[in-house]
Amino acid sequence: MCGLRPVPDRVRLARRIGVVFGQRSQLWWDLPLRESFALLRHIYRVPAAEHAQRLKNYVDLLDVGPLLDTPVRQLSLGQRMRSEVTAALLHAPEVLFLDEPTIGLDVVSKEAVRSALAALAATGEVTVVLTTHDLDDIERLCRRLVVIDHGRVMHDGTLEELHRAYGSRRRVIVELDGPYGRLEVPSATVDRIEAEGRRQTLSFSPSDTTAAAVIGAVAAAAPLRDLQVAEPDIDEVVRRLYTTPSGVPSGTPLGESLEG
Amino acid sequence: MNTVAVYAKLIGAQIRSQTSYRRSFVIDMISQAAVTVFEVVAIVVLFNVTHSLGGFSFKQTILISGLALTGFRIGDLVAGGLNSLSSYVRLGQLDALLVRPLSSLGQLIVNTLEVKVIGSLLQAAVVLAIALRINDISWTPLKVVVLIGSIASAGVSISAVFVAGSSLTFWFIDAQQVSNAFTFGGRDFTSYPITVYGSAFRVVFAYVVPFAFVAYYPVLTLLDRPDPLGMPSWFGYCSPLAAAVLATAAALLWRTGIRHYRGTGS
Repeated sequence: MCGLRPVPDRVRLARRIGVVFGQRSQLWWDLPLRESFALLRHIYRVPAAEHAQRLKNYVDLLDVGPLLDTPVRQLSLGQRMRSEVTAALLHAPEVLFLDEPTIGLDVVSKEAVRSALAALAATGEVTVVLTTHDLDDIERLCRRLVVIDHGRVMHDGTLEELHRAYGSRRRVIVELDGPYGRLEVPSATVDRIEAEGRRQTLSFSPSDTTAAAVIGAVAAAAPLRDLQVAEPDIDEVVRRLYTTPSGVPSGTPLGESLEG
Repeated sequence: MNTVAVYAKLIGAQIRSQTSYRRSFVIDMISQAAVTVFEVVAIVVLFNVTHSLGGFSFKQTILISGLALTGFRIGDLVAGGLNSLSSYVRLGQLDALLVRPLSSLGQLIVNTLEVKVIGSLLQAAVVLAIALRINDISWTPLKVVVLIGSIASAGVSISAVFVAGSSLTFWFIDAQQVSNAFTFGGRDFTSYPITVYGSAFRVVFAYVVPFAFVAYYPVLTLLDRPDPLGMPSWFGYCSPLAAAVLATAAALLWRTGIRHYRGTGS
C-alpha cells in the first residue's frame, strides 16, 4: 500500500493514511474534542500553521465547529463520527479508510455523515475507501465498488457494471384510470398487479428495451395517469450475488486483485 | 518536536483524563495505597513466630521487601496497565493504535497508565526509607549508586516482566493467569530472602529469571553481607545487567507477538 509493506513499514505507512473505525474511537474520551485534535497534531508531527489551516477547512466542511469544547464522551454518535473523520484528516493522508462509518446511526446522522463524506470526496484531496453493509452508503458515495465474500472478490467495478453483470432489472410502476387487465408490453414482464389493475409494476432488462419504449407501449394501450421509474435495487443485486451457488469459489483471492 | 515530547503530551492528556473524575480518583488512590500496607503486615506477622527468615533478621527482610515493593510499584505504574491488553485485542482497540505513527508498546503503556498507582508507590517508598534508616548501613558513595541503580533496575525488571507477560496475549487471548504468576508472583518472590526457597525453585526464579537481582543481591551489598549461598560479592552490582537482559527479552517477545497479531476481526 502506498509502496510500503503494512507490517514492517507500519509507522511510515501510518503517516500517509487516515483510518476511521465505526465502533472504536480514535479520540480522547474524557477531554474536549479540541484537545484530541491538538494531541493528534503532536503524534503526526504536523507543523502548527499547517495544522491550523487544515483544521479550519475540515471543521467547516464536516461542521464540527460547535463541538470543539465538548468532551468526546458527551458527543452523540453522529457528532462523534464527524469528529473522527476530521481527526483522521488532519495529517493530510493520501487515503482515508472508513470502517462502517454509518453503523448504528439514525437516519438524520447517517445523512449528515454521508454528505460530509461526499463533500470530502468531491474536494479530490484524498482517496476515500470505506467498508459498509449499508447499501445506501454505496449508492450515495461510491464510484468503484468491490464486493467481497469469504475473502474473495466477487465484483470489482462501478455500480452500473454490477447491475449489468448480475442482470438487474429496472422497474416501471404505472397507475391507470380505472380497473384494467394485465398489460401486454414487449420485452417487459408484469410483476405485480394491485387495485384491480389500476396499479401495475413492470420490469425489464436495460439490454432488451428502454424505459421510454415500455412507457410508450403502456400509454398506447391503456389510460395512463401517473408513472414512476425505479432504479435497480442494489439490495436485490447483492442478495443475488451472495446466494449464487458456488461450490467452487469463483472470485479472485483478495490481495491479488486490489492492487492499483 | 521529538518523541519524548510527544509522549509527555500523551501522558499529560492521560493524567487530565483520569483526574477529571476527581472524587473517584481520590478514592482509588487511597485504596491503592492500602495494598502496600497489607504486604508489609504479612512480614510483620511472620516475624511474630520466628526471629529469623532464611538467616535474615526482621530489619533486613524489611529492607529486601521495601526495595522489592518499590521496584514492583514502579513497574506496575509504568507497565501494569498492560494487563488490559487482552481487552484491547478483543475489542479491536489495538487496531486503532496500530494506525498511528508511534510504537505500539509505547502507546499502550501511555493509554493504560494508571495514575492512581502513584499512591501505592509512595507507600512502598516510605517502607524502603524506614528500612534503610533502621538497618545499620555504613554509607559510601558507591552504595548510594548501588541503591539508586537497584531501584531503577528493579523498576525496569518488573516492567519487563509485565511486558513479557502481556505479550503472551498475542498467542493466547486468555494468558492473564500465566502472566500474573510472573508479575505478582515475582513481587512475592523478590520480597523475601531467596535463601528461604527450595533449591530447584530458587534456580529458576532467582537466576534463570533473574529475580535475585531485584532486591536480594543489592541489599547484601548495602549490608556488607556475604551471600549465604556462596555467590561472589560482585553479584550486588549486577542488577542493571539483569534488568537489561529482562528488558531485551521482553522487547523481543513483544515484537514477535505484535507481528503475530492479526486482529480479532470484530
